[in-house]
Amino acid sequence: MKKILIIAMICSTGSIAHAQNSEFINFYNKYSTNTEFTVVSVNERMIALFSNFEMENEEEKAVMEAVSKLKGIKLIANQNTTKGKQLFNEAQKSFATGYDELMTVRDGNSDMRFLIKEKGGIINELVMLVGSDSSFVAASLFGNIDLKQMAKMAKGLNISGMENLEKLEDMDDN
Amino acid sequence: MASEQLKQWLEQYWQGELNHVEEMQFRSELKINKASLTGELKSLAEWFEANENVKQEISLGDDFDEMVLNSTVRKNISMGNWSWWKIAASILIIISLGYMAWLLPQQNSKPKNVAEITNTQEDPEKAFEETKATLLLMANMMNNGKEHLNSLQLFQVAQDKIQNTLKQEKSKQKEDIKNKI
Repeated sequence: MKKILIIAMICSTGSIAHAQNSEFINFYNKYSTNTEFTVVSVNERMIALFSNFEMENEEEKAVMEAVSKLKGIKLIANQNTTKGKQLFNEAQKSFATGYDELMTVRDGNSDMRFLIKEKGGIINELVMLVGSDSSFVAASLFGNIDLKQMAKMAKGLNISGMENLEKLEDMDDN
Repeated sequence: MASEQLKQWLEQYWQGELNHVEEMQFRSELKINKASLTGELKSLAEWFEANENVKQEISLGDDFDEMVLNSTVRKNISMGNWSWWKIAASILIIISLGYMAWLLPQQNSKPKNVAEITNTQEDPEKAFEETKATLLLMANMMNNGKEHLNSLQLFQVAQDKIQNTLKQEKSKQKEDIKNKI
């Protein structure tokens, strides 16, 4: 009888561990087939290939340093939507459990929220949600995340975050 | 007692025709006249006597009832614990199986491993550009958010300074009034 109990407990624990990062993947999968959305998905194997590149400047070196510890990147965005707020609220509900709030900023019509999943003092997922009347962005980094490196990466850049999104949209069109 | 009567009772005893009172009387007569009996009657008298002796030897003690009751109660307690274990284990197994049945179809419909997630770009250089843009987007947004928080902190500091200055002025005014009085 004790053996059965132990087996049942191991089964439950395994299932819970397996469910890590599944919240974002579920949300991503729901909208990724919609052509109105810009999507980015990079897996661990592709990240491993980046180490073969020669980094040309400090910005690329900083990006490489941050990305080397990651296991995956996902982004889903729509810059021409009237349902930005609705999508933001839906995403917030999806990530209501299991995530800790890092930062929430409301600037005019735009809401921005950073959430983290932490275990043993190590951040293993960083989720960003941005929602306004005309746009929506949800991005997730998973692996070993260094917030200081993230902040260092964007230092000295005089561009807004959304300009990077435009770059991504251009790449998506090609 | 006449041996004829005893023989008649013996016949009736084997036929099962003696009632309880007659049987007791038959046994008693056999016991009394044991020495003078012969043959089958003597054997039967000895059998009855031995039977009575055995009954007396294996009679139950006064504490027998208590012992039986104690062992019965102890058994009931252990059975009770066992059945609770069985119920708890069954519930846990049902919950686990239900959870697995709910989870497995979902797991099958999505990537099982981080490494199995499909890439949006097959060319590593393009994938690096995508990664760079995504990271910079997140880093810039984070820094923008931090700037907002910093400005809020500055506002809080300024507010605190004003409140402190006002408090100091009020306390000075109170002291001046006291001095005048």
